[in-house]
Amino acid sequence: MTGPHDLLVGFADTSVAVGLGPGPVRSAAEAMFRHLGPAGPHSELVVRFAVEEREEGYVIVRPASFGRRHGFPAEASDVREALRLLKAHVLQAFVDRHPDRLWLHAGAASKGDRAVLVAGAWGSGKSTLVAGLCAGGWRYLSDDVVPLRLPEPAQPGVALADPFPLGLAARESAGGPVAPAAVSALPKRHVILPEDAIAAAPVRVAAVVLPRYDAGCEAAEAARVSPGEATLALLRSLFDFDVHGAEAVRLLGGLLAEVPAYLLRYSDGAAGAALAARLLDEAAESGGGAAASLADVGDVERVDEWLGVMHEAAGPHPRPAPVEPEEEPANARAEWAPWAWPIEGRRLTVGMATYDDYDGVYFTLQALRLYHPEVADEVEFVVVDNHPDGPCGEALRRLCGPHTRCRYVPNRSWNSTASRDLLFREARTPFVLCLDSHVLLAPGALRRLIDHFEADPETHDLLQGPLVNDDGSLSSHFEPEWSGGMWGVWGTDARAGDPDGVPFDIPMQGLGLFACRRSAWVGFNPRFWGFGGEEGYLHEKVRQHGGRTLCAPWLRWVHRFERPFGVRYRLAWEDRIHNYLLGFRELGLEEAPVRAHFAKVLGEEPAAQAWAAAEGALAHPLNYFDAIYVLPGSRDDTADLPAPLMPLRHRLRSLPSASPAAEAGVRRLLDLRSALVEAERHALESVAVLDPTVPLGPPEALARQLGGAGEHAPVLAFPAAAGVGGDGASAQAAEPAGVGVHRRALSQLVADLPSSVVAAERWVEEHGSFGCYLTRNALRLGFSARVVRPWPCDEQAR
Amino acid sequence: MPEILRPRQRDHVVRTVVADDLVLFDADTNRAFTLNPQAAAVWALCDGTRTADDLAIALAERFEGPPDEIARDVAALVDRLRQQGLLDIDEVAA
Repeated sequence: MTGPHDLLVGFADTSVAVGLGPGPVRSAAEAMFRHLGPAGPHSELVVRFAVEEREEGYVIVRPASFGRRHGFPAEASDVREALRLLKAHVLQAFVDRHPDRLWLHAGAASKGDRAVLVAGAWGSGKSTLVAGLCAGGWRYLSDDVVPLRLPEPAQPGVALADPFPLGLAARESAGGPVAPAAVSALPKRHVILPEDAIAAAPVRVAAVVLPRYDAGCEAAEAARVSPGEATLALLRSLFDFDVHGAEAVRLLGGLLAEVPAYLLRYSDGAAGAALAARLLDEAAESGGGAAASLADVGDVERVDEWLGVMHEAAGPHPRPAPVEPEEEPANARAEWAPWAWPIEGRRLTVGMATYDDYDGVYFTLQALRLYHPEVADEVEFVVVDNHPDGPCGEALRRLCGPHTRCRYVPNRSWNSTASRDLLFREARTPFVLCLDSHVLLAPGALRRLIDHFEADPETHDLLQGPLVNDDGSLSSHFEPEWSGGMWGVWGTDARAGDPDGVPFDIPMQGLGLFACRRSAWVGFNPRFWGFGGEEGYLHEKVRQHGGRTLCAPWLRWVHRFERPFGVRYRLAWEDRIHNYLLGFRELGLEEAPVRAHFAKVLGEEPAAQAWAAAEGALAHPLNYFDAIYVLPGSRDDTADLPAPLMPLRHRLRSLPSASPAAEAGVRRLLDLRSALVEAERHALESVAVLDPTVPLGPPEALARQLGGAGEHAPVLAFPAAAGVGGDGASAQAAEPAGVGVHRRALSQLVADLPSSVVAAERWVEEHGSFGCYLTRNALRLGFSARVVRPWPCDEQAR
Repeated sequence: MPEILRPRQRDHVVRTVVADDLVLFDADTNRAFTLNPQAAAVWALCDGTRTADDLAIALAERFEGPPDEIARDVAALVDRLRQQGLLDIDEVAA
């Protein structure tokens, strides 16, 4: 039955044979299964698969009965997909052969005779935590699949996790759960483990950790999860729930009655792993229940869903050269960690946001590396690309990586001055320096910047430096005066002339360079759109938060002002006026001078129009939300915008569809989830997501709904315009026109919504419409019935 | 003639006690649910003899909180459990 060159994959005295010709699939499969070697000479052969290359791609050859029993596809168009299919086939074969185990989509690592089980949805950071634990000396069991044995009734609460050490691959970004559309931009890096770092025998589970990446979290924090909820979390991760049913509930419930479970939020992988390790040694107090609540496990994971998820991981942007044979690094641990390199010792993140400016990023980055060697071990770089699918995207991805200590962060949803916020969300060092992508620094400046912060580690100050003009003169600050449509006129303070001088207070300064402690960052208003209006705003905000705004004479910089090839993004008066008005209102500054100035610059009438447009946006009921996403619709998103949204047209964010080929209802669910994930990533307080295919009700109706306590509700469904459906005013839309989500409900909704096409199809079968889901889950999501009632559930949908 | 509704646990629901929580498994639909201690107390009293008002009174004796809030939560929970197919509601003529 097996061929002489078959790859044998072993698990617990059983083997699966895989026929593979020489080539990229074989070398990648050998890497993936390298630690799941053949189970021994007398092992039982479960099944043989073969991967055959065809003209149009690859085919998995399998027994007909296997194909009938499991609905996996057998054809793959490229190496990466072939590998995913093969992985799912092999896993399913072991799941079928070993029904005495519960097969979990989870990771695990062990220390001594105790293991921690890491369970969560795809993208929640399982591999990150497991990789972090192993970096701390733990033994690797698996980052993706854990077979559990529960030898009861003899030993209730005892669960043994078998090693299932698939090649450990962790995603290379601080992005955490990123939008499916962005995932393809984050390559998984294989981590090579020495044999003695891999557990050889089953280990008893001593704690369960449910990871969740949270950019707003300082480093890592944990909360105890009730045993019931933890049971559901594990049931959701079960590949073979259908096989075990009630028995699985009983067994996992028995385990979780004895073993503590924690929800672990983290923004820093190493800190998350350290905390997970500590949890094992602590018995935390169990938290009390709140009001009556009920959670349900709607989505039980199965291998085919896992497969669907993995399909999606390939993303809508197929990349060339997918599966490279892994090369063994000389020092395996040096290549370590999901963030691609360890953070230890790094103090300062130098971040740049860019839009189609490869040259600017290139020279800024390389100049810093060449001329500031004394801080090479203390600095890392982050590039936020606001046009990742543009002409510079690929080149920037190649420029970034471990070789330059630069992390590439694609940002598809939002290009504005406020997208620099993302640099602070992504930074994992205590100090952050934010640069324009075309700024160069004087030698020694980074050393002094780090020393300055180290000497005052609690500071709330915003630190800037003198701009060195092309003629050698210095501009140390802006005078707070209006000129040429800008607040701020370049000024020079004599104290800037001494490069060893001490920092001094300035009213404001251009934002080509600014630095502060990461946790002291006050943030731009997320409602800023386009560019302009942030100078002075940021400075006043820092001062209102108790910091000083300083010019450090030694922090000298040059700035490329000329753009002979033009600026690739929108620069408009309208944006600037809006941003000034928004910022001045937020900070309680006097608006009259702004208005008077623009009347002088633009003329009374055009200025009044722009002012009215800005007022219209600020008064719009949806303006309450930090961000407004519009789902990709059937039509061009902005060309045909409904009238009620016009005042906010520049604030609308959009993402490319996660699965453009999927059926409309499925696509809408996946895209909705992508938008919510994006909001989590940007650490927004609140987000509105609009469905362009359902007309939004009039602003007055929205205002009524949002008025009073409404806007603070965890979840709000926006009513559709009356008369949808063509039956007159009484007709009701099957779906709400949009949903507003507060931060405290965000992660629940993200967890509930499906993340793959397969899962979404099952979700629709189970819940019917999204509106119906909201109705059914109102209590859990914290709805008021008043808000939900308009969406009747079609009972057939169950 | 008004009808009085008396919620009753459905037969096919499998109960698993997990520490203070209760996990319910609906064998017909392959779905599982978890109830926190308060919700579990409501569930336990749904034996087809008590009305929602009876439940609220019993719960108010056991848990701290404004009685009308408890009554509202209990009613909402019973409704949700029924929607999920975990409870039957017996209608009894008054």
